[in-house]
Amino acid sequence: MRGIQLIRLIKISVPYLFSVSLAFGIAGLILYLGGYDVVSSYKTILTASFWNLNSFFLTLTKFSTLLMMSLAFSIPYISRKFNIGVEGQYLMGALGAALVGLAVSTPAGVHVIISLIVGIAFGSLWASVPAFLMARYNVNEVISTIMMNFIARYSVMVFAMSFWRDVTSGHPMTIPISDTATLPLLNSSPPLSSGIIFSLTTAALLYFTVALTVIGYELRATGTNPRAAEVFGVNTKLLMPLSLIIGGGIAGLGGALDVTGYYHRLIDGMQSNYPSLGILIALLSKGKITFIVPVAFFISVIDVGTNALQRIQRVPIELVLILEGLLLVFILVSESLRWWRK
Amino acid sequence: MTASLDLAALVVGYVRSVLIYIVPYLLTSLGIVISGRSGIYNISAEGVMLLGASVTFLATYFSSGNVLVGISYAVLVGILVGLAFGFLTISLKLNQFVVGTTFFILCSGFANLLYKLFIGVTLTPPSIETLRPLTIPVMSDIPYVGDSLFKHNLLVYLSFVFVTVSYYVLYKTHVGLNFRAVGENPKAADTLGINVTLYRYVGTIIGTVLMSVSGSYLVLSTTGLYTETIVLGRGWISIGIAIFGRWHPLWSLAGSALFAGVEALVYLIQSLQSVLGIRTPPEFLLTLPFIATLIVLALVYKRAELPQAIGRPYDREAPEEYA
Repeated sequence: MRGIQLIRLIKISVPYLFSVSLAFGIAGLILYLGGYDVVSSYKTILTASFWNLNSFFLTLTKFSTLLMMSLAFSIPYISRKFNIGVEGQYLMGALGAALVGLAVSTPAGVHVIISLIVGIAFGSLWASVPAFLMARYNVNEVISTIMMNFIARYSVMVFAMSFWRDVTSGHPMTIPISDTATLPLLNSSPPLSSGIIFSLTTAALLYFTVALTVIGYELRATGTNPRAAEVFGVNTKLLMPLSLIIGGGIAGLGGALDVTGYYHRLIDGMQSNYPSLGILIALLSKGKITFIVPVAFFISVIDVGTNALQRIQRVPIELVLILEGLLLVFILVSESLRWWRK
Repeated sequence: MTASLDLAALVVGYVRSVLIYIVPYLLTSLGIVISGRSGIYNISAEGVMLLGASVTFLATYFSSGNVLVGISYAVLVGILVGLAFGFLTISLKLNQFVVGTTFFILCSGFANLLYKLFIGVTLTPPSIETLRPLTIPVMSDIPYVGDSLFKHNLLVYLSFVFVTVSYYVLYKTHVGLNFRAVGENPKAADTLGINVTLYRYVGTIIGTVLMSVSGSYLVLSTTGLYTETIVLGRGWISIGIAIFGRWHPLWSLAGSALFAGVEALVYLIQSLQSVLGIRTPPEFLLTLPFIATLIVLALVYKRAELPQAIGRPYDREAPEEYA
């Protein structure tokens, strides 16, 4: 019996291993054609996160950001909705937290909490526009959430160049938020913010919500077969927009955590290409939170490694995006070929 | 100050810039419409446009300014992307939104990667020569009309030809009827002996080629530069235009005119502001096209008519559709 199970395990894992090696192979080919030493490049990409405590903490910080972003995509995705507006919701959450951190002064403990709550509120408000358009006018969420991304980008730009602009910097950004609004550190030097605790807790809470609660069950039912779910009394018309708003809140919290825990200010372009990476992580994991956590960690290792490589050898950071995108394509292909063969 | 008061010049300039801005919307939304008519919902337009722009720039730059080489490469890239998209969504029947999202991200990534590998990060970005305007004889001599309508580059005229041809082929020919049947009811089409797979592949590839060439236009029309923000949401807005236009080429033309009008208005207001000395953050104006898209979508979506089978893979052996 053992042997049969082992063979089965190998059979299942072969397509995935094949996909991973193919994606790394093509990315390696790109590196080779770009004139880089492939072996040493890959060594840097895979190990840079573990060189020292500093880069390991950086990996954890990126992991926290990516985790929040892919969770923000995955909750609506469970009910078959595509929240490509993660970027805008993240930015608005960051803007909300920065606003509280700059304009309000309250005692230390309360200040951070207000910042985070306002971040969540801003993120969900930003998602509630597409949610409303979906519920009221049946507008497809893909395009409406994208439009909100662009509006958010410009809003951040305006905000970063207004009252609290840091005039010493050439790039649009605000001055640092007040110390009372920053998250406590887990380790002072090298610094590690407690943001990672918040994001892992969010992941755990969402996992139990999806797996064990009624709303989680209804969400999954809606995603599996909306028509059947409706017949059995699930209010899908309410649930789908609601899942989008929840996703917005998660992304908003992600932005607020990064402002209060890492950047300590609002910076134009702080989202970088993490929204795309986060969406791909959620798609790779099929929206399953148990997969999202390890995949997000793996991708943040590669991201930190590629960033290190960019500093040393000028390798474009888009490589991470391409590696992850190819990985997703190959996994999709190998899975569907497996179904096809059956 | 007389310039600011010259209404005729203002109108001529406005119409002229509408025609300049209409092309990317027109080509991309036409691409989305055509692949949508065959049943493939391709939401990766934004990424394909960026890739087309990047490839066009690089090919033109390294062939010492040969625009034809640049556009040929964009067409080639469009075909390759279309084949890959078709393989995943038609042959392997994968979810078109998942593949579309992935392709958007992948193509954008490749576009920037290629540029960085070949050009690198430079202080002053290199530029290529833009397309020269073709002055149409006689017509361009008509006062006002000539200046605004008949002094554009070749791609502007071509995009209008494409719209007309695709309208004619889709709605007035037998092939077009088959094509639309595949997007409305693939099972019935299959029963009639129409090759559903072939039509869908052709639709997908025409779509991505148009998107890619639309990217070429962005590089070749005005600046001759490639930047990461060169597409700036036009690909996504074009999906909105296709929906607004009910997947009809001529209605998409109307939608494209609407959005080109909004875009031209943004720049008109900006230039008027500098003349009149009013200052608002330009970012407020720049959000206008995106807000307009949301409003237009809210207004038309209830009555939107999508091709019946759009977004759904066709499986000959599947039982009767129940979705």
